[in-house]
Amino acid sequence: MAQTRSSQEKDIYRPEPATLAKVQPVTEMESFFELRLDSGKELGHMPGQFVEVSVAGIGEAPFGVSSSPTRQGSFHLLLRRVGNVSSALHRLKAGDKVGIRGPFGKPFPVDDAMKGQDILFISGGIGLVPVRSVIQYVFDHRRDYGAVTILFGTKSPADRLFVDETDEWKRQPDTVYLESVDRADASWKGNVGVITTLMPKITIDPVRTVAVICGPPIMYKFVLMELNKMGVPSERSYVSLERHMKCGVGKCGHCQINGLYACQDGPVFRYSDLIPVREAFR
Amino acid sequence: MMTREIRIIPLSEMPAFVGALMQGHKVLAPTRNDDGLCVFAWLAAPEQADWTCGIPQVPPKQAFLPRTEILFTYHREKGRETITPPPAPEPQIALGLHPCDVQAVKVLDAVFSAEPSPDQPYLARRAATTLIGRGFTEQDPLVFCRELGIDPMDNRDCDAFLVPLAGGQAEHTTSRMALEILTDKGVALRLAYDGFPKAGVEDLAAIAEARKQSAARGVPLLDMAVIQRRLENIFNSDLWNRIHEPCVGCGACAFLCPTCHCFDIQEEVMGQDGARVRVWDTCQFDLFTRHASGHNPRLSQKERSRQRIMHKFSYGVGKFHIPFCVGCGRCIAVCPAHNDVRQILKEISDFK
Repeated sequence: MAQTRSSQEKDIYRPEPATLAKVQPVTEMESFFELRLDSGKELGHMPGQFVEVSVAGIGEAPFGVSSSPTRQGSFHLLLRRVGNVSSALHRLKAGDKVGIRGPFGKPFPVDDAMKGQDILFISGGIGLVPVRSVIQYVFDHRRDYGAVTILFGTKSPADRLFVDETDEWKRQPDTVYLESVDRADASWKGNVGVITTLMPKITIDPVRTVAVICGPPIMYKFVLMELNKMGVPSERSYVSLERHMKCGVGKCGHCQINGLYACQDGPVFRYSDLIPVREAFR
Repeated sequence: MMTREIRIIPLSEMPAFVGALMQGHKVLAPTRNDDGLCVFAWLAAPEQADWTCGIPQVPPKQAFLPRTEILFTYHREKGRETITPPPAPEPQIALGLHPCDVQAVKVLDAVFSAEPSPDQPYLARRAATTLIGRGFTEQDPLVFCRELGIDPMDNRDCDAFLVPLAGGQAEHTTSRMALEILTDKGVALRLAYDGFPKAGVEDLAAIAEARKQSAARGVPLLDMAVIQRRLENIFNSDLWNRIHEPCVGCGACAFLCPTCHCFDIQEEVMGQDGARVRVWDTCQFDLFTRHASGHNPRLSQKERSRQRIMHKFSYGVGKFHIPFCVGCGRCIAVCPAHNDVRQILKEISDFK
């Protein structure tokens, strides 16, 4: 048992200082943030993990890391302006200080279950944010994986994220990138319809494919039904679930999903493990 | 547990003993508040400790998990923050805990020491605490710790333990306390107890008799394994509709529960200075699970009432092999809707 709090490395609630290297609006509601830890160290995360970001005077909130650990020197977040902390972060500029705790949670199994497999990415809206970390990781270890298929759906063309980068993804070897919008505007020439309307357009080998899924709560049920039709086993589908998290270390209770804690047992779960978990897709 | 020694303290001398404990320790003990209600509170004077209290309505968990606790403070200057950790906790004594409240501390210990992220603020307070339990010969009508296998005379997991003894003419009235010293932390209180006489042969016999009588008061045990199994199968049952219907979602059951430990982390700001604080929170509130987007995975009080029961009797047992309920009866006493966890457990057990 700890004697005192003198061993500050062990204080799980103490954030470490970081500096915003870049802040860039992406859509009306979302901005991109590049951060560096003031210690000069790497964040040390794996794709799918999250950090708790502190804004002094406002508070702390969890956000999925959007960049791959293979891209060293900084890490990325992309936030929608909806809560106290995300709104405060949108008021900051490059050079401003924030606090970071983490990385926390279970990542996508990029080095085990996904290795050597075809990868199907399915993301809706800002669900692409943590998935981008996995996509970058896969492209940075391209030979370790088979065919890559990326499906991305948003409400409207203006809500698309990482537009320049998704153009690059299309040009990667053995890669299919498809996007769709729920509602088109006059300029839109691409697919229209919810994300599941993209799924019949692709050809995959269901028993060689691992699916990586992240999107709004409503999306999972329909995507998982469609994957089932396509023959992808539930053991090969991984989802990242959103919950209201506070402590990030399995104590505060907020993110509980039945007996699981999203912050520690997740946020990435294998779908087959969630089938008996009644509160998972709510 | 090996008893190191036993001292006898006349009830009239208890303020002297408590006063001696207060030298060098903060002391949390049963006391009466301004409304005459028994609560666990930090003593300002030794006479405030009240030995007529049964199970105080406010539990002792505040000794380890304060209602509001500063995790760190910070000072902002030129866009930079200097973070200061709070001072190390002072030595403290949690005095007069009913064995069911001691069991609740074990639940908190399990949660807050769990790997991979042991909770330093909790563990530091816990390490700074000497736990003095207290035996009870009578059981309050709302208390059902015996049904959960907790003997109200059991001194396990305590550093010291008070056994109430009757004596003289008034044979049914507590006239003195036998103080059992059980651990090194207990021995460290020597200055406070050294002036009191060691237990004699008759005292030892009286203590043994009190334990024997308590153990003999057998009650049918709740079958926690059956309850846990049944909970697995009735997640979507109508039962939850009945249970949650009268619930007003006030959260009193959770705040007064000695094992409920969920918390929120908030920010307090005064100009350039601020603090990150942790405060008690409860799964009974809508905001507890609501995302910033507005989406709420536990939409109604039905899901929230169910969560409370599931966490106590299913998830907690699954993860830590210990029920998150100790039968103290506080939630029964305070529920404005008269929800009774004993009745709920019966319905779950009987559910077909």
